[in-house]
Amino acid sequence: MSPDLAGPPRVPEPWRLDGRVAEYGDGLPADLAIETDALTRRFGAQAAVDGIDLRVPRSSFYGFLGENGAGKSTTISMLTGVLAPSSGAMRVLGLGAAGGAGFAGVASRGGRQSVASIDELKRRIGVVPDGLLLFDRLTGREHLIFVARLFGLDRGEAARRADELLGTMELAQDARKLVADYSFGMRKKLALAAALIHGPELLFLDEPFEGVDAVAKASLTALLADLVRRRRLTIFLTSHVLEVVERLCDQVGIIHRGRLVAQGPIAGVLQASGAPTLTDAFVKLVGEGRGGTRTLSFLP
Amino acid sequence: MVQERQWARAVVALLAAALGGLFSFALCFLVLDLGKRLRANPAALAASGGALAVFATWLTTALAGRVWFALLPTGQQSFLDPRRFRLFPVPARLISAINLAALFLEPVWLVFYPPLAAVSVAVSRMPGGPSLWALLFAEAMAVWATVGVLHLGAAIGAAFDARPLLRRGFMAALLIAGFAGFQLSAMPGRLGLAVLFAGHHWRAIAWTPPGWTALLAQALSEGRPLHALTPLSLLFLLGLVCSAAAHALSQREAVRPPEPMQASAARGSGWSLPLLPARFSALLEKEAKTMLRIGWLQLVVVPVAYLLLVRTIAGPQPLLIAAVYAHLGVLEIATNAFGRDVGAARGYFLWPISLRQLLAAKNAVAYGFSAAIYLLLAILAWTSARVTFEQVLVGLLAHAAIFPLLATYGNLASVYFPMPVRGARLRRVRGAGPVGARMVALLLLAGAAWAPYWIAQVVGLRLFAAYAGALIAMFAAYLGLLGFCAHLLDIRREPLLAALVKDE
Repeated sequence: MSPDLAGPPRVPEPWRLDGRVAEYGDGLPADLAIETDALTRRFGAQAAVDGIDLRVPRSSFYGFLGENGAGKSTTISMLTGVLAPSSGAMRVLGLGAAGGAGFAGVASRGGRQSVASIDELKRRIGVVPDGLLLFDRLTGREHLIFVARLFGLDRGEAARRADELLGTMELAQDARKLVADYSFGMRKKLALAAALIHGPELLFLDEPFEGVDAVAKASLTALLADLVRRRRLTIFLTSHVLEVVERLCDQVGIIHRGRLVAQGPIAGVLQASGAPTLTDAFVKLVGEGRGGTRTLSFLP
Repeated sequence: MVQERQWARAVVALLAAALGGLFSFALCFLVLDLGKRLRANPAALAASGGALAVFATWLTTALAGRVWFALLPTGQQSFLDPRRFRLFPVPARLISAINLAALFLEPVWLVFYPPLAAVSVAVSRMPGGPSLWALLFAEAMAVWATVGVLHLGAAIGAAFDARPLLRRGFMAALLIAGFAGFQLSAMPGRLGLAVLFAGHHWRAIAWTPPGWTALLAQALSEGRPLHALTPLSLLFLLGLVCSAAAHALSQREAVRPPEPMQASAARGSGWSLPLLPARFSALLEKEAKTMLRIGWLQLVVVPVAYLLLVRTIAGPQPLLIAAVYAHLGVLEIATNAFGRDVGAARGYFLWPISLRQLLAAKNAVAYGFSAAIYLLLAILAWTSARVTFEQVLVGLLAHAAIFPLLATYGNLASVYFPMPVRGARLRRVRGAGPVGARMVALLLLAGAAWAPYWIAQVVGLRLFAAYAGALIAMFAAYLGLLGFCAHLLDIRREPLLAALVKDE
């Protein structure tokens, strides 16, 4: 948890919101990067995300946790404007959207959301989704320059930032290789570089360190943590490696079967759940009695 | 939405089946008619080298067409990729055998089997022609050998995927061979493929697979089983050896890591095209580089086959065929605009770009490649003195005039039937919808290319004016419909992205 942001954690009593969400914290921070109200996304009869109320403070490292299929990626898709919510409302970096339409043509505070403000949102966020956003037949450097130019950077600046990011991500030696020839870890690093190249205010990272070697992971997490500490960036991170989340994040939200079951500073979640680690708290909150030792009859 | 999509697929698939059936039966009719005419004119039959030479010629043409169809989808792949089964205790030979069997059942054979049967019927009725059952048996053996060749071709194609430099070399060789082939066959006085099989060449042809097939049919028909044994064994061995080689090659490739390809531009900072917005330049650069690095085979193979077409279909405006044919070369690119972006296509909705600009850039790149193919064909036709300057110009106008139709139709097909293309390979297409969409595109292109011609004939207009008018009208319609296509892309983003990440 960043001491600059929230100071020493205070742990009040958990309180409930609409009978759905248990939040552990000292009230809602005034300056929120993400705020949702009963955000819901249905696929047919199934609710992938079922009325969640996220509160992500600005300049925080927010860990969004859940089992496979809990609704994490669907939530990110809605928050980034790719997927329209079925109902509910959301506000990302002050730009609002309501159910049924997503960010495209939605009622904002002052009326109908303009195309210009949707573009503004896109300019201010960076995304590393689960499937990455990489064009296989471009080289790593070409890809970064291409993305930078789509964000309106001029050619010189795009090239300068691409070279700097390639160096930081330890990909300079492979800058001329096609992305198709990159290893999984290299692709992750390149995707992260592409998400950073335009200098976003809010970064969505879906399992960003999966397949990245330990040394690179340490330097990348240090880079991101430093950006958050200097209040330059808000990070919304999903990961199944809870040790990493516990070390990096100051806030967490836990989603289970589409519903937000806990949210707030990590220390608050731990104390309220009575678990010593985030992994234990997570298993307790979403495990439903599972997670114990199991045996296989054919492997005695 | 899913039901609507399936319904659309079913309709387009039915249309595709109808078109394929029409094409197949048109070929049957052509073969039977040609056979009838040769039967009635013994001198022409003798000039063609006799019934056996005619059989070898037609059979080779049909099977060459089948092989060419296999080249059309870039990087033809095996039904089952052996690399995926390395970790499982499945015999490698079984996978190769399944791949071989799958090649017999590919839908494109359904178009070729009826004309092959028609060839047997037509030749069996010619003076000196072998019996029908002998011809059919010989054809079955030829199909076996061809399938073996296709199996080997698929394995080589997969090996090329892992060796970009080798692939580039092969493409260059193919381009040179295609150019030389065109020049030779288009020279005045040549008879094309048939000249290879006629008269005094027959002795040499007897040593080739088409010759073996003809000799097999003859020996069986004359009741000489011992004489049939040699060609029969040779054809069987050809298929077997090719298939065994494909198996060996795929096994070797399964454990070989791919060679990384280095792009030449190390320190550039992207294209900056005059008069175009920076984002549009960047999109054009990305599209063009992707196409060049994936779609070479297709772009190069198409002009080669044009020679065969132009030999048989001349007409008053032969370059109208070239115009349609050039677009055929980019049909896969134009009707599957997002297939190569796969997961990265999500970026188009996350990055601050206009979807209208995106579609326009993709269309512009497809047009650029198509124009290059057309110009290549026009230069080849021009150098062989078969066309006039005016015909080249009319063809160019027609080429430009019908592209907006392809672009608009392609944009719609790309939104409704996106197919993931991973690496250089098109993943297997589940369902005939996307394929049918392309066949419909062919029909539209052909109609649009000749409509101004017929209108000019009826109204008494100059061809120039007719095609220039068509160009203006189509371009204006394209600009209007581009916004509609972009809107459609925006509202159908969810099914599109879902389809692209599926490993079909």
